Amino acid sequence: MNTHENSPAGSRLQRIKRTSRILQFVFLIYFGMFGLFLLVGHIKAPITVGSQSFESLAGIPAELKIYEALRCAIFLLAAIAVSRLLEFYEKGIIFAAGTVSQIRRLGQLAVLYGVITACLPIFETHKIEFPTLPLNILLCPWLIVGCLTIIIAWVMDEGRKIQEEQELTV
Amino acid sequence: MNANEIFLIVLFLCVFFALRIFLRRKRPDVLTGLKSTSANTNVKSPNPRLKQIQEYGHLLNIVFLTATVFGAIGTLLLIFLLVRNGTILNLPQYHLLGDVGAIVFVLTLTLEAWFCHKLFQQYARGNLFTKVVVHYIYQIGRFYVFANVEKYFLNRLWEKQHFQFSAGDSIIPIYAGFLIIFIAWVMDEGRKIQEEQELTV
Repeated sequence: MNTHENSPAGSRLQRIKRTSRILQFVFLIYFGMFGLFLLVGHIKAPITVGSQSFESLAGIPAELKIYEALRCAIFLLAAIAVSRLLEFYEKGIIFAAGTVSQIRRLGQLAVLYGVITACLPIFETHKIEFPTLPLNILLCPWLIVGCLTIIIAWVMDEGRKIQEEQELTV
Repeated sequence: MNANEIFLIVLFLCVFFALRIFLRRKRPDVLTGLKSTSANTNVKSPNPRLKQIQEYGHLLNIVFLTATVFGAIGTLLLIFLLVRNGTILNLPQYHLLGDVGAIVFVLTLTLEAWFCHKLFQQYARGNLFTKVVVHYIYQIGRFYVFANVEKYFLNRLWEKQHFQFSAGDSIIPIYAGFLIIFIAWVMDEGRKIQEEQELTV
């Protein structure tokens, strides 16, 4: 956005940039510490996966290892998406395709995380309990917020395209 | 038939009726607010993108309205149970705290569903980046944070009573709520900047 620094619009943009920069810094520290705790949690016994505790890494069943690996991968991807989103905001890019794409990605990752978390009882008990599983999936907060984020990102994207088309028509 | 099965049947029935209402409704013309007739052939047709947003907005509006009604009924039912039996969760030590917490939690979710309904109502009307839309997104984020903080403390309370809740008990969903609030704030500032630029030109 082209705004003069002293104008009200310029000061608003500066505020967004400043906040994004601070959040990026805070986020970096938090994610570094979180990663460290996650790593320590998987080295130091007892290792907790879901609602179960294990004495060593070798004692964890393969399906729970896959579950943990997927969870960590989703966290990493979400961290990258948040970092990129804040980077866009720091540059003053608010309603661009890149910004919308990062918001959509965050929504998709939240949905994926919700499904994996809701399916944890299958990995633990090796059976599907009806209707606990569909209810867990349906009422999972990650799934709801993820779907909502995807829809908002889609509306933002469509709105952006409509504005672009209108500008081209004029 | 147990309570869970009844709940699922009621849920499926609600979704079925919501879809039926959505498919059978008469759609007014998006730009003019009039029904399409042969006399209005010269009127500019609505943008297909906006029309699609409005259609999905209308469907989700009905879904969240249903959720709000369910939530309100649930809250009233919990209050009724508390008044009638004197307890809901039957926790010996923290019974009043746990019961009030459960009612507030359901009420928070109901309010969140209500704001989702209001947001999609705005989308159904074709309002995409208005002040009201940003306000509703902001409220959704705020209630999401509040619901997760409540859930976190309720779980701590239940764990003391050796009561296990389902998966997903973590403090991380709170950050997702804060992210929604932040995105809403940036959207609001972006909207204000655009408005100011239009006024300057």
